[in-house]
Amino acid sequence: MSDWIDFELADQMTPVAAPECLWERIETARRAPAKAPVRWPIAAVVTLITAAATLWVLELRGQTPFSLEQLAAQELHRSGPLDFDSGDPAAVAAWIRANAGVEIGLPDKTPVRILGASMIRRSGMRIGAVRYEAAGAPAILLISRASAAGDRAHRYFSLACEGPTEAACQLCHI
Amino acid sequence: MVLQGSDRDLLDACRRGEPDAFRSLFEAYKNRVYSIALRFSGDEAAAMDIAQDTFVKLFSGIHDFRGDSAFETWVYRLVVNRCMDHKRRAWRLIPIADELLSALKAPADSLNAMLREEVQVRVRAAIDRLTPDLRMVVVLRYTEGLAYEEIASVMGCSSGTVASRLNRAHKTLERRLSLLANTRGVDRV
Repeated sequence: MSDWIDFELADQMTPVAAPECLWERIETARRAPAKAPVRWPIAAVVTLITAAATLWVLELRGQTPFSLEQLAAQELHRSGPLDFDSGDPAAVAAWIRANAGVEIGLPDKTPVRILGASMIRRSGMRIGAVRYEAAGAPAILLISRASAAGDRAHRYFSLACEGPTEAACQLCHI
Repeated sequence: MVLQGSDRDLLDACRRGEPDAFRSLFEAYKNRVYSIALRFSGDEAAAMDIAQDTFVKLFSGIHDFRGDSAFETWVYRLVVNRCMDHKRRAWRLIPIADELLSALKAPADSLNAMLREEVQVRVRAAIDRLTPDLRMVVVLRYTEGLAYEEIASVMGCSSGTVASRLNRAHKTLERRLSLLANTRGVDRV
C-alpha cells in the first residue's frame, strides 16, 4: 500500500462535528406522525376471510337440525294472515304438498276447525304449517321433510296448542 | 463524549421515554454518526438524512437492544445499515459532476491551494466510486479508527474479510489515482 494513499485517506476521512440543527431535525421527525403503511389490501383480505367464515358457519348451521318444537311454539302465537285460507282438509293437504313438498294425510272429517296453511323457510328447509282450532283453542302443526333432499315419506312433525293436546291431535288422529 | 459506566442507566432512561436521556444519547453519538454518514455519502444533505434516520431508528428501537454486543457496536450497525439503504435508494451524481461542483466551490487564490484542492477532489471522487462495502470499511477504519475486529463485528463479517476489503480498496484507489501520485511526487520535490 502506498503511503500517500494512507496519508490522503487519513487526511480526508477525518471525523467532523454534526451540525447543530441535526437535533431539531430528529425531534421534528419523531413528532411527525409515521407514514401509515398501506393497510387496505390486508383489510380486504381479512374482510373476505371473515365473510367466507360467516357464510361457512351459516351453512353449517343450516345443516344442523333446528328445534321444530321451538318453532311451533313461536308460530302458535304469531298473528298475521295465512298464505292459504281454507277449511278443507284435502285442499290444505294439497297446498302443503305443493308448497312444502311433503305429504300430510288429513282425514276428510275432523273435529278440529282448520283455518288454513302457511309456508315457513328455515335454514334452507321448507316447513308447512297447518293452523286450526282444537277444543276452541288455537293450534298449529308443523311438518317438514327429514332433509332438504330427502323423500317425502320421511317427515318431522311438531305440534303446539293452547288447549288439550289430545284434542289437537285429532287433526290427524280421530 | 463517550458513554461509559452510566451506559445502562442512560439506556434504561431512554426506554422509559425520558427526553433528557435521548438528548444525552444523541450528544454522545451525534459526531460519530454524522461523520460516518458524511464520509460515506460524500454529501452533506445525504449525511443529514442518514444521521436523522439513524437516530430516529435508534430512539424508536432502543427496546430492541438486548445487550448481545456493545451498545456502540449496535449504533455503528444502525448507521452502517442506514448508509447502505440510502445508497440503494439514491441516484448517484456522476463523479465528473461532483468534481465540477467541488471545483466551482474551491478557493483558487493560489496555485498550491488549487493543486491541493484538485487532489482532494480526485481522491474524494475515487473514494465515492468504491463499492459500498469497500467504502464502508475505509470509513470505519479511517474516520472512526476502528480495529479490524470491531469493523468485522459491525459489518457482520470476519476480520479476514475486513483486511481483504481494505486491501482491495487501497489497490483500487492506488490504480485510479496513479497519475495523481506522480503529480504529488513532483510536488513534494
